[in-house]
Amino acid sequence: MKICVIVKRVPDTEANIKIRTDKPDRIDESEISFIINPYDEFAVEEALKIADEKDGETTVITVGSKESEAVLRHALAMGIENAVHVTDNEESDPFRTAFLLGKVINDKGFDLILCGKAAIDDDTAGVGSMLAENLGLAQVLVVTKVEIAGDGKKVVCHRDIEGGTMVVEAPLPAVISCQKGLNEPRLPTIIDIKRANKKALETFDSKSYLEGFSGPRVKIGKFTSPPPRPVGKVLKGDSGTAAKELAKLLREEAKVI
Amino acid sequence: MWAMNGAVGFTVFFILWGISLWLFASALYGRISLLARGRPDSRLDQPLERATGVIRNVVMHSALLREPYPGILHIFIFYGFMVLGIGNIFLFSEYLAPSLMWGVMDSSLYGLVSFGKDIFCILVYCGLAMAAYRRYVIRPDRLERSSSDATVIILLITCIVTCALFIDVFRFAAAPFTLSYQNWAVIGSFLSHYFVGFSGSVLHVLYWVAWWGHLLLILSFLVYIPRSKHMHLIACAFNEYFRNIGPKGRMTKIDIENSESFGVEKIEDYTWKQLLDLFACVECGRCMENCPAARSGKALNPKFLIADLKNYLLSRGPELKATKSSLIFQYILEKGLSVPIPRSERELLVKEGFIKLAEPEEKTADVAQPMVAAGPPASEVKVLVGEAISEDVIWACTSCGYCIEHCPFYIEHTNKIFEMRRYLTLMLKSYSPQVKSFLKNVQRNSNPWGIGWQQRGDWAKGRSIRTFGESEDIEWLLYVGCAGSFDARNMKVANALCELLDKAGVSYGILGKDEKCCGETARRMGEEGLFQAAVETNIELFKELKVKKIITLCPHCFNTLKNEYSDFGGQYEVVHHSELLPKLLEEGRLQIPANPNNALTRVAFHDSCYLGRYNKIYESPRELIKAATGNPALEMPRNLDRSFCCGAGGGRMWMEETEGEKINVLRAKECLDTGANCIVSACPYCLTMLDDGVKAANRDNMPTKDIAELLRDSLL
Repeated sequence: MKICVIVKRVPDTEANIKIRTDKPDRIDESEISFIINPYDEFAVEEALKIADEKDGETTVITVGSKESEAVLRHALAMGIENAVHVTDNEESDPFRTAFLLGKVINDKGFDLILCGKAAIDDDTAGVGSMLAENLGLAQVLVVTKVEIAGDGKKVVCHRDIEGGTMVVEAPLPAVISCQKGLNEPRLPTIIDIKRANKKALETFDSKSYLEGFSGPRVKIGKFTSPPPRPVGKVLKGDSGTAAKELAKLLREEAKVI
Repeated sequence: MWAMNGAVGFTVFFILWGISLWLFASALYGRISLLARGRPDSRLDQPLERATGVIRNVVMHSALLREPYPGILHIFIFYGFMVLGIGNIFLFSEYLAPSLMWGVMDSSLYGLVSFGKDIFCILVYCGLAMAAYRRYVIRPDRLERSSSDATVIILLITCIVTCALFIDVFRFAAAPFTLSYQNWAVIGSFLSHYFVGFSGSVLHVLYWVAWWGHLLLILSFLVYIPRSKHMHLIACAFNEYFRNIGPKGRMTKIDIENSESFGVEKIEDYTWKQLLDLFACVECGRCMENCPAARSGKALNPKFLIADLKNYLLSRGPELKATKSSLIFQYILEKGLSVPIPRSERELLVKEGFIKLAEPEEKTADVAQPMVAAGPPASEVKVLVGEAISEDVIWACTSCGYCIEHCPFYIEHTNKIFEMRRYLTLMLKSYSPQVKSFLKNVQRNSNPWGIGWQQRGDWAKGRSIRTFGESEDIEWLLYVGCAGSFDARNMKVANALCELLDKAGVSYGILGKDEKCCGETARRMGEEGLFQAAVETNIELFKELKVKKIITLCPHCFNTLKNEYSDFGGQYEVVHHSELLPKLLEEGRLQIPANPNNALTRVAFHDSCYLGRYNKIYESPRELIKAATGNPALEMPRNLDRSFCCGAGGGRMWMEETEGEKINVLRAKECLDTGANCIVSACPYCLTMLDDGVKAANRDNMPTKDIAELLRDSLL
C-alpha cells in the first residue's frame, strides 16, 4: 500500500506574529520559528500507523520555499520513508498548491493521500478537496478515525458531527483530511531529526509543473492584527462590595450575565 | 593426646578445604565473569585518591560511622573477624605441624593473639546482639524485604565465635595451665573452670567437636560469601576503589552520532562497574532512608532496585555466559576507555577479535542443554526495562542524590535509573504525555513552558539591564535559566537578584532572547540528544561572546554548566547566586542597614539537592539568612546532606504525581513544623514546589521566598 502525506510549513503556534510594514500581505518572518502544521502531524502519524499495519510505503510531499525542507525532515524523523519537495515561493494560493500537488502525485500510484484538515496559518482548508478534484478521487474531510477495509480497496472514516459521529465509506484511492483526535503524533527525538537530515530528498522546481496553470484564483489583500486586549480592571474593597461591583460590571459593561 | 591429626584427619581436613575453596572460587568466578559481560568503563585514574578512599572506608569505617549504631556494631564484627582470622592461622598450623608450632603456641606472641581473640569474641557477641536487637526488635523499616542472608549470617557468626572460644575452653579444662597463653586467654580461661570436673576423654571429644565444628562453620561461611549479600566482603573494597570520583551524579556522555542503540535495554548494557555495584550492595537500606520516592509511597525504592537488578543479573547468568566476551577486560586495560563502546565500535571489536560473540547456533544449543535449567526457560524470561524493573520505578526518581550520598559503598543508583530512562525515551519513546509535551516545548522554544523563545528576555522589561557582549567590559554572564525567564513567580526572583547585583555594582549582562535552555532536565528525562543539542548551541554562543564567568539563578543550570558541560569542552567559572551574595556582603559591596526592615525573623531553610548534595554548598545560604534576618536559619530534622528533596528534580517537576503522597507537601509540612514565619530556598523548582506545598497544607499566608528576595527585602 502506497501512502502519501501532504504537509505544510507554518509559524510556531507560540510565535508572536507581526505583519510586515512594507508588505501588509506578508508576515515578518525574522523572529519566528516554523513548525510542521499540527494537523499535518496527525496525517503523518496516521500514515505511519497504517503503513505499519498494512506493510505500506510512505511518502511526504510539500510545496513551498527552500525553508520548507525542515518540515519534510520532521516527517522523515517521525518515520516517513520518502520525501518530495516542490519548491515554490507562491504559497498564498491554495489553488496553485493543489494544482502543483496534482501534477506531482498524478502518476505515482498512491492508494491513500492524507493531509491536515487545514493549515493553522491561513486556515483556508482548501488544498485537500481541490487536490481530490484535480485527481478525480473521493475525498473525506475532517476525520477522526481511519480504517482500511475490503482488502485495501476501500476506507471507512469517522467524522465528528454535532451530537454524534458520521461513518463514511469511500473507495481507494482517496484523499483524507485529518482532524485532532485521530491519533497522538509521536515526537521525534533529536537523534531522529539528525538522522533524517542526512536522508536524500527528491526536489522539483514548481516551474516544470506549471504548464496549463490558469493563474491564481485568489490573492491576499492584506493582514491586520487583532485589536490589542484592553487593560484588565482590579476591583478594590472587601470581597462583599467587590462581588457586587463585579456582578454589576458583568451585566452592564461586559453584558455576559 | 590430640590424636585427630593422623593421616585420616589430614585427608579429611584437606578434602574439606579443597571442596570449600573450589565452591568459593567457582561462585566468585561466576560472578566476576558476569561483570565481564558489562560494557567497559575506565576507573583507573587517580589511584592514590582511590586507595585513600578504600583505607578511609574499609579500615576506618568512616562512611559507615555516619550512623553510629550500625557503624559501631559493624566495627566489632569486622575487627573481631580479622583477629579471629589471625588466631585461626595459628590454630590450623598447630593442627598440621604440632611439633613445629609448639614453641609458638607457648610464646607470648600467641598469648597476645589469644588475648585479642578473646576480647574481640566478646565484642563480636556485642555486635551480634546489637545487630539482632536492631533487626528483630527495633526493626527499622529500611531493613524491610531483606533477604534471609542476614539471619543466616548472624547465626553462623555466633556459632563460629562460640566454637572458637570453646576450643580453648575444653583445652584449658583438660589440662589447666599447661599452656602459657591460658593466662592471656581471659575469657576461655574463665569459662574453663566450669568444665574442670569433666573427664579427660569427654573433654577430648568436646574439644574435637568444637575444633571441627569451627572449621566446618568457617568453610560454610567461605562457601556462603559469594552466594549471598555477604559478597560485599569481597566486592565493597573494589567498589570503593572504582567509585565515581568525579562530580556527583554526572551522567555519561553518549556518542549520539555513531551509536545505534542508546541507554540500557539489557542488563549487560550496563558497565562492569554498574554491575559490580549490585554485588557490593549489603541491603543496609541507607539509600532509602530519605529517598523522596520511597518515603512518599512511590514504586521506586533504591534498595529494592539494586536487589532486583542483582537477582535479574543472576537469573540471566547462564544465558550471559553463553556469550564469551571476557576479552572486554583486556580491551579496557589496553585502551582505558572512559565511555561505553558504541554499537558500531563494538562491531569493530568483534571483527578485531577483542570481543567474541557466541554463534547463534551455539546459543540455541546451549539453551537447550539441561545444564542451563538453573535459569528460567526463554519464554518466561522477563524483559529488564518495563518488566523486571517497571516503568513506574524508572520514572519515580527525583535525582536528589540521597542514595548515592549515603551509600557506604558508593553504589551509583541514579545513573542506573537514568540509563534505563534513556532507553525508554530514545529507543521506545515510552513516556507520559507530560514528558512528551516537555520535550516538544524544549525542542521548539527551548523552555519547558513552551512559551515563544522570543519572549525569553521579557522578564527584564522595564529594567535597565545590559546584554552580554554589548561591550567588552562586562564581567559576568547572568544565566537566568528557563524558570527565571518564563515562570511568573521566579521572574520576580530574577528581578530581586538584579536589584542586588545593581546595588553591589556587579558588572553583568544577560543574553535575553538568545539564551537557551541548559538541557539539564531533558538529560534527566533521558533525551540525551536534546541535551547535547543544547550544550552545543550554548557552548558555541559562550565561545563567540567570550563568556568566562557565569552567575546562575537555578542550581540545576549551575550543576550542569559547572560539572557536565566540561565533558563537551565547556569550562567556565560558574557560581550560584547563593555563593556570590555572601561574598558581596563580605566585601562590603552590599550592606545590611542597622535596622533592617524585616519582619521575617524566623526563616526555615530548605537545602536544594543540586546545591547541597551535588555541590556541597551548605554554608553560604545559611550565612545569607543570618545576615538578612539577624538570626540563624531554622533547621529541619532532615537538613544538609540529609535534606529531603522537594520532589521536582529528575524532571519530576513536569510529571504528574499520582501515586502515594505528594513529596512537596511532605516537605512543606516539615518546613512549617519548624515554626518559621518564612520558608526560604535557593532554587526555582524548590520555590515552586514549596509554594504549592504550603498552599496544599492550607497555609496560604506563609511566605515562601528565594534567598535573593529575602536579602533584597532586608537591604533595599
